Amino acid sequence: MLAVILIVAFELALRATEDQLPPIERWPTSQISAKVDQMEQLVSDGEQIDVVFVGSSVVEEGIDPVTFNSASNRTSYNAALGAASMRSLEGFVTDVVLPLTQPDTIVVGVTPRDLNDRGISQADFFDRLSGSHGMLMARTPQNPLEWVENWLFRHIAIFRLRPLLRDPARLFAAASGTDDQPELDSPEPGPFGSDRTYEGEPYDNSAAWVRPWVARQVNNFSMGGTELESLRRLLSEVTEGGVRVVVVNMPVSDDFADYLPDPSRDMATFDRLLETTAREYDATYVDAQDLFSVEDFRDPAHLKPDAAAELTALVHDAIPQTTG
Amino acid sequence: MVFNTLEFAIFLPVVFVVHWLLPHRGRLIFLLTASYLFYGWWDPRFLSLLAFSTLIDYFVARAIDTTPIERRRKQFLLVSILIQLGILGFFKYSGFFVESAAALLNSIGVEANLPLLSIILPVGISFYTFQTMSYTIDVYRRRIPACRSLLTFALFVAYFPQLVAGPIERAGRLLPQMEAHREFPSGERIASGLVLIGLGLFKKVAIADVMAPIVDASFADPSSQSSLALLVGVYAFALQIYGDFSGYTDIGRGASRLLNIELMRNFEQPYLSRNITEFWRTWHVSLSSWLHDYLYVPLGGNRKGPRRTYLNLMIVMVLGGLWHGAAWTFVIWGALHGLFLIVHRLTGHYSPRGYQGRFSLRHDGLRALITFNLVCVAWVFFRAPSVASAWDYLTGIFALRSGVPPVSWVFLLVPAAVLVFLIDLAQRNSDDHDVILTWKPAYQGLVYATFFLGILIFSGGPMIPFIYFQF
Repeated sequence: MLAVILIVAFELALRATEDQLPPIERWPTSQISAKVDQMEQLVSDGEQIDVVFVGSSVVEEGIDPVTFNSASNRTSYNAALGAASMRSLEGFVTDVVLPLTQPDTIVVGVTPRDLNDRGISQADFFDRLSGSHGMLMARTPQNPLEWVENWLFRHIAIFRLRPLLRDPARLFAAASGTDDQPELDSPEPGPFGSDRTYEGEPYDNSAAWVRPWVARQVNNFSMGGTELESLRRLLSEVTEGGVRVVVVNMPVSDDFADYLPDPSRDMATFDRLLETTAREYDATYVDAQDLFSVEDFRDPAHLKPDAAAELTALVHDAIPQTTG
Repeated sequence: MVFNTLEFAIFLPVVFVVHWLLPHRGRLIFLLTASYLFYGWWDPRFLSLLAFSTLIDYFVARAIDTTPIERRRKQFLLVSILIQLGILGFFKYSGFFVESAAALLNSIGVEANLPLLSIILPVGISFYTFQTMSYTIDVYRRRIPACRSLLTFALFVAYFPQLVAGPIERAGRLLPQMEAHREFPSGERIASGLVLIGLGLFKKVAIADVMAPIVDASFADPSSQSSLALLVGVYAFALQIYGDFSGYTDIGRGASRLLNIELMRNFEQPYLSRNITEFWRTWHVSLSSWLHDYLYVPLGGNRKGPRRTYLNLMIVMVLGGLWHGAAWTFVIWGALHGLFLIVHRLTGHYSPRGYQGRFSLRHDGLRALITFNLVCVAWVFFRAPSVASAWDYLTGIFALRSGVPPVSWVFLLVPAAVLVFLIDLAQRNSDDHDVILTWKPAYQGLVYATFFLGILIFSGGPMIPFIYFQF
């Protein structure tokens, strides 16, 4: 009984002081925060966004909206998120990107890593994004658990203010009037940094060098479960809303394929799964998998700028086929 | 399935209710099914491995039990041990040995491109393999009879509260409880089970997972951290691994208590240890006692003179390190503890009693602090991704690099350390893990409110797996 009284007292005290507490960050990484701000700004400036690119850092760095826009009279935006996989993208695209930008075409770039059901990095990112204030405010509950979570978020201050309560240093700083907004995490450097290095070590594709990344992204590799289901739901929701979809089988290097348990079999399975899924939802399917050599990549997964421009042109050429 | 998930929050009450609605045999079948579901939730492919391991030791132990010829009995035992260690070796150590062999050959100028094996490590394999091995050895030593019922034995191997991360139970303790007609637990027993579950969740969510980002940040790039930040980082890891592992054990023991099956204590407040021997009698008790009974004693223990005792200690600790993972960092971690144990014996302060009961801050504080810091030195090798990184970390601490850790680290570390100390002190000085239940209602209320608020506030972040799942 005393425990209940103490918890209720804590809740009431939080409610009473909520207005004086520092604001809570909406998004878990600086990249998401910047992208949502940009999209909101574009919309409030009256800009029309025709085409949106979504995916992980492979799309972020592999498809260039500036190149795309200069090749056509259409406006595009790259809403890809570093470290995201299909599970994270499903909610982010349907609850944030589409309502904000209302494009006529969406380009979904996918790699085998994005369909790995057991990736640690993918799960971490999903947890962080789905538990963020931005997502909790934006999403429509899909199941009883999400409904409960949304209800708690709206009605229980302890639940709502958890990010702040987890940071006693910030609470202390706020109480003493010295609080600054904390810096948000950058997206996971993905995966090998901008100069073919990872944590300072030059990329050499050795097991010792690659292991930390592989362990978080493609370890226990398995496709065909929750990530694929998320892709299906994403395609279903987008096409039902009348938006045209282009699915791009994003290029990855042979080095990358070698990290998979059975490279040739897993890549073939991935190709088959992706193409079948795209066809199932009448999406245009662009297979860019074998178009680039290992020299076109700055690391096993990310294209160099020249190769990214080539891929962007390819995607650009594929889009008119879907416009009626 | 993981203890700190919604799935388990639904799974456990369902198991509790259905289990107690069934008759004895139905309970065993149901618990085995639930345990396989629990394990298969992670990856159903490895259920066959669990079943294979179970069948091998069930039939081998039966053969040992019914064979009067000593030579044949030994042969059966060897078959069992070779198969179990073979499975463990293949899944856990093949990559390590191939890489080490390649590195060795390269270092002597032989270019070796040995194939790198990409093998998934089945979760909990080290735990259940050791558990079934101890059973077969105990049957061979005639300490226990072979289990007649395959159903009961399969449940002994797969029992979900301790399958994935221990405690590594002994058949002599667990099998009789499973075979017995268990009564529905008393209200007190259910309450004690729930308190253990709450305590375990609190340790995992509000202590271990809170320390995790500090640990990750300090170990990610030791060369860029100040000495003080590195020190905070390793203390945070000490709290993280203790909160994580003992929290898991508490939840497992609490869940098992709801089914009226008592699991052994796996931790006896190890950071209150006054020397390294006491630490090893209070940390991961089920593993250290396993290593003692099935490795140290057969090697000769302390019966063959001091030098052989020291050698045996070193062998046991190095293999204990290797049990945790296939990496040189774990080997060095074990060797360091072996060295500490040997030095402790050499100083003449060794007592075979080891575990010394009540703790007084005034009389035992300094010795406990020294022991804790020695343990922390070894933790650096346990946590670091490589030997070189561990060395950088340790030299970084002693280089006295200027700078202070982020204030948020201190704000999180200090309350966590105080809470762990208070919980452990209360448990140690009462010799009772459920001591909370004996307190006045006002204190109990305060503790339950703290548990609830701690779990609520610190849950919902990124899912951090239990550390010992990787072993």
